[in-house]
This record gives sequence, structure tokens and C-alpha cells, in this order.
Amino acid sequence: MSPINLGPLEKQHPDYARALRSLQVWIDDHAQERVINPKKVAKDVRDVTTADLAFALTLMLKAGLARRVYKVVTPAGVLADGEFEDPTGIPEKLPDRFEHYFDTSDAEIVPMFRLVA
Amino acid sequence: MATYKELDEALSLVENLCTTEQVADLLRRHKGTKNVRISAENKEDLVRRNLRTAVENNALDINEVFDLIRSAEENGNQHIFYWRPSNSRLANTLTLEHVAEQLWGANWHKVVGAFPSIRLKPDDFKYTDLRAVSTRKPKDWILKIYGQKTITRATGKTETEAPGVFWREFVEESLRIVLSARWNYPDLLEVRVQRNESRTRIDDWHKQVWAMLSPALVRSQFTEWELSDAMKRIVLEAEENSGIYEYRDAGVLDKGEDVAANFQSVSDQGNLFKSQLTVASINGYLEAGGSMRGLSVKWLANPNAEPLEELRVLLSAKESNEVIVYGHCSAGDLDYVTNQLRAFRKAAS
Repeated sequence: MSPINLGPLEKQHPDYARALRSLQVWIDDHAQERVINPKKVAKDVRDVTTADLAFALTLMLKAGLARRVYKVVTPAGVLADGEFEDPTGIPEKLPDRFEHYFDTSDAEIVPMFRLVA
Repeated sequence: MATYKELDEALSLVENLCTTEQVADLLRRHKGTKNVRISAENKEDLVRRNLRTAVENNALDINEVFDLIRSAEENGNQHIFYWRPSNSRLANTLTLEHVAEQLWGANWHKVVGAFPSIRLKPDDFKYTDLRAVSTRKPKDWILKIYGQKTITRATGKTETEAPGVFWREFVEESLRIVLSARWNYPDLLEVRVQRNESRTRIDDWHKQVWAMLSPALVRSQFTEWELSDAMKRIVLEAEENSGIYEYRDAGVLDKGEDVAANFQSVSDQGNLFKSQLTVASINGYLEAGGSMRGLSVKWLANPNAEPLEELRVLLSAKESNEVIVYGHCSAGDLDYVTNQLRAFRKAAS
């Protein structure tokens, strides 16, 4: 069971209760994952619009249940190790999964949500 | 102790390498002793005022400060190259005393007694420490080398001076280099080199360690301790060992080495073993005589024994005897990984 409880947020924002409930189910089903990739959640959660899901995640941020972090995509299309509070703090070069360094100025940067609780 | 002369440098290293909690823990162990104060406004005060005062007043032994530095810089965030002595007679001669005598002659006690040395030698390398690793493994030793190099780095900033003409900004930076050779009794010499974005530097530093070991032992007396068979077993036996490790990225070569395939989980927290299709593909390559070329393994934490914290390593991404340890870890956790590799390798032979 995830320690994250979106129940109080559902009560405060009934218009987004469905999105928050779906998000809660996703978090509970992925208890090992402490960093939420919104793209991945949007792919898995089909019964809620992307806009509602994005708002639900923003509500989590505002409630202090998550904080925004940034990750870098390697040339192979997977996430590099390491996360950054601010995109300007990303080093010029990062290692891919097989320790080959790549230039991050050409790389995709993905905003994500690290669960705080 | 001679190293008192280098207290400023030692404190500076503690401030850079150690966490506030580690420094506070050290001071806490001496709580109640005169001149030991734990609370501080910030890390700088904790190190520069509290720790300095405690050391200068002999409230704690300077060796405890060195142990903090050793713990922070010797284990993890490095490449480890494993080498095996070509025969057991050589292995038996590799005692700390023998190596020290070969390096510094009959007066080696004096040289070793003055270690650790903290201060860097500009644009050069120097021996900084030689000691037994622990009472638990009395035949193991570690030789440490510090280096310093001024490097030029592009900042990424450019400025256009005229159409088609621009300036790129470069800055000079001092690179502190920590290298070591660790004798892991009874059969392994580990050459440890810090991680760096330049593979050329990694290879040069690896050679540097051998060059500095050469009065005592030379590379031709050792063979590469290859990890290919161990990796194969780690993959093929992942199901029965699911409580011990997971693997996230795997490179495989087919039998004829005509095809190379890399499997990577998209998430950095992923586990390839969760994908049956991927497991079947990798196992298919291996069972048909293929081999591994790079395997990222996460050794899972064990609450009752080592590893106390989970530890991710990359096996044989470049050299067959090379392991990259990603994060900082304890000496015991790193030995755990080496011992696991020993076990998998032995069972495969």
C-alpha cells in the first residue's frame, strides 16, 4: 500500500475526483516507483483525459505530495540515471546505460514528479 | 603526526566529500568530551570550527578524520579492473610488507608511517596511503594514489563576434584524481579508478596505477579476471536469485559475434526480468552460445547482512574484467559484490 493518500484532495476538488482516483490506483499499483513519469501514467490510465491527469498531478505538487524533477533521455531513448531539481543544473554530458557519455544539449529533458511522502 | 601539517587540506576534503550527518556522527561518538561540540549553523561551521577544535585539542584522533575521507573516496563511483595473479606463489608474496619494501626499500616503515598524505602534487601523481584494509581481512591492503591535473573544459557558452565568426568559452579546472590498488586476498588485485566522462582518462589512469605499482609487481604477472561466464550465470539464474539481484540493462552478442543487441528498461528504475519476452530473448542468445557484453545489476539491500544498501554496478561494458560501481558505497558492500562475482564465476567454471 502506498503511503500517498489522495483522498483529501478528492474531497477538495470533486471535479477532478475521477482523475485523482485513477492516479491513486496507478501509484498503488507501482509501489516501487517513487518518480512518476506523466507520459507513462497517461498511457496506462485510459479513462481520464490527459488534461485532467495533468491537473491532478499539479494538485499533488501544490499539496506537497510530490515535487517536480527533471530527467534526461539518452540517445537510445531510455531515461539516464540521475534527476535534477532544475534543468539548468543538468551537466553538459551524462553517461548512458552503458557508460558512454552523450551531449545533453541535444537530449530530451522530461519533467517528472517525485513522490514526497 | 606529520599529517597535522595538512589539517587544512584534510578538513577541506571532509567538507567536500562527506555529508553533514557523517561529520556529526563522528563528533557524536565523542559527545561529552571536552572541546567536542556537535551543533552548528551549517556544514562549514561543523567542519571548520567544531571538527577542527576537536582535532586540535586531541578530543578525537586525527585518524578518525582520515577514516571519514577514506570511506568517502575509496569505495564506489569508480571503475574496478580485476586482475588475478598468474600463479599462487606470486599471490602468496603479495603482502603489505613485501609491496612496501619493493616500493620504498628498507626504510618503508618511515614512509608508510607518514601516510596518509593529503596534499596534491600539481600536475602529477603521488603515493598517499598504504594500509591494511580491516581486521576482518588482515591480508588485504590498499595502496592509494592522488593525482592533480589542470583540464580545459568547454562551458557551452558561445558568443557571435561577426556573421560566421563566434567565440566558444573554455575554462581551466583543477581535476583531483583518486586511484587505488586493492589486494583482495587470496586471489584478486583490484585496480580502482574514479569515474570520468573521458574514456581516454580512465585508460590512462588505469595504466598510471600499474606504472606506480611496477617496482613491486607488473601487469604481465597477472591475467584479466574475466566476467563473461559470471554474467551469463547471473542472467540465466535470475529467477532463483530474485531476492538477491535484478538486472536492468543487458548487452548480448550472438555466437558468431555478428549481431549485438542491447536491452534496456525505459525507466531508470526498471527491471528487465519483469518482461518475459526480454528474458526469453536474452536467454535464447545465451543458450545458443552467445555472450554478454555489458550487464547492469542491482544488488538488493539486505536488512541483516551486506549489502546494507542496494548497489548498482555495470559489468564488462568495455573490458571483460571491468566493473563500474555507480554510487558511493561502503567497503563491505563492495566486497560483497566481488564475493558474489567470485561465486558466480566459480560455479560457471
